Amino acid sequence: MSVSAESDLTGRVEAAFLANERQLGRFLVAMVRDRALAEDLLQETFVAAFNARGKAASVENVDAWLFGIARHRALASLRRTRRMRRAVGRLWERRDDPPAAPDPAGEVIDVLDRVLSPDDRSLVVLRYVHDLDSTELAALTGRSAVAIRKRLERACARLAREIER
Amino acid sequence: MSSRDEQTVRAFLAPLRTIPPVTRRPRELQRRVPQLVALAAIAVGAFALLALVALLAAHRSPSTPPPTHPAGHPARTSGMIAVSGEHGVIAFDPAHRRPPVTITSQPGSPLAFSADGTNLLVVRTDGLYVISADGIERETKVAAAGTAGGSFTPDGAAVIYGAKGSIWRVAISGGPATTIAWSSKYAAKTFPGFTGGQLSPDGTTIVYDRATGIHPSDQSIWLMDTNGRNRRPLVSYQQVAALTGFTGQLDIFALAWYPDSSRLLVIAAPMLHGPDCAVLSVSRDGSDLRRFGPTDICPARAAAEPGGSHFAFTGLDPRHDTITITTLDGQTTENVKPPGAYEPFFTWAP
Repeated sequence: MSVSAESDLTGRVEAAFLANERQLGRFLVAMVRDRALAEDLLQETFVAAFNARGKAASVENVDAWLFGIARHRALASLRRTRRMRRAVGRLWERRDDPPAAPDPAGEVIDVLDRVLSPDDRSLVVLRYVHDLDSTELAALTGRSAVAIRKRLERACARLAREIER
Repeated sequence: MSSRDEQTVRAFLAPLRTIPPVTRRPRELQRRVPQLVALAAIAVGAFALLALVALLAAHRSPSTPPPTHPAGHPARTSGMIAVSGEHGVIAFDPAHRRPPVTITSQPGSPLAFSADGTNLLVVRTDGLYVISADGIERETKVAAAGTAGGSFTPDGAAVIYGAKGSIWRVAISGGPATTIAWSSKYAAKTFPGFTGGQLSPDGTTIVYDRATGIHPSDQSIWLMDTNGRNRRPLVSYQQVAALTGFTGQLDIFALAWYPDSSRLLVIAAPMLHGPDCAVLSVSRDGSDLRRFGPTDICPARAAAEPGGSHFAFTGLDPRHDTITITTLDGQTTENVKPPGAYEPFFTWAP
């Protein structure tokens, strides 16, 4: 790869990251409900995207690609340390500074946490909070758009039932 | 998709758009992360090489006296509490009669000392380590990432820990771990499965936390013999709910054995709402479950003083960044402030 092409890709990834940074951060907080962990994961997402910037040339939607990396990091983190973080992190949330996720966002995350699996939670948050459509979600999860829509429909119905209860 | 469901969900999720932004490191630093990692690796390699050369030179020299605990003896940490400091793992005297000592300059969260105080079990982001407590900085990685609890066997030769939904045993020299008890793959993947894994001080019984389903009653604390047999429930969700009045999903997990192995401290905390939690004390046969000490105790972790007269807790009131020490009945409390950054992981040296 030429120096200028490399520079272009670096610039493209950095620009996309900068444009989506706040949204990525919110998504990660909603997934792991721990600001310190979300900061680490945001950093990891940036480093992973930076290291894989060669792929950015062939990625049609760099924004969705970044959310895909962030989602992968969040799910991996939840799998790794679910119990520990739930047990210890929940107690840490009671610190005065700063809250893991301020109310009413914390209340919303509580319900998402209880009703949906981490995988479904990520899809619902990306679809209805960050406005990624089912085609973009299909691209970042490796599933078909039809499967994503079906999955979202079920998750949505479950969530709606819980909200209206 | 029902548009009504979709509208309901959209409206419900709207507060997630208001989460304050999280921050990254400065952009210049981010850009340099790969280079910094490479430079750090080179620096570590060079340092290791220099250390090896120095060690060999010292070993060959006939005039060099034999090494005598370059940074002290395990007894230097006797009675101290090990915590995660800003520059490694440190031990401090809760009575502040002795200055803090550095056990290792590497970062980590201390979990447990061996009975003779020579080794310390430490969890890091990349795994579980047994490190020498004498300050010589020997360390052995005994398990991969994904565990947050564990203890030494009474002879100090092995470590019991929970990971991947199962309870494992591994020699302190590392090598393959053997499974003592395992939950189903489904339970381990979907729920925490079996976690914890604290050996009683008398070395006969392992307590572990069991979360194998989505129903609240699937959370419970169990005991088993050290060979994984004779598994029996110790504290059930129903018992905790009846004693505390808590409803809904609870986090129920074992905190610490009493020094004489006769009882256990456990905690129950509602998972979804409210700041409440309850510390309970249960007899080893499960017949006597009661609240422990004052009702405002709400710890993240606990450890018994190896001498047998006190418990220490972190997370009681994290705003104060203190470790609270109580008598075994929980009636008399004292707060001590650990040096360095506050973190809930700690352990008490014999």
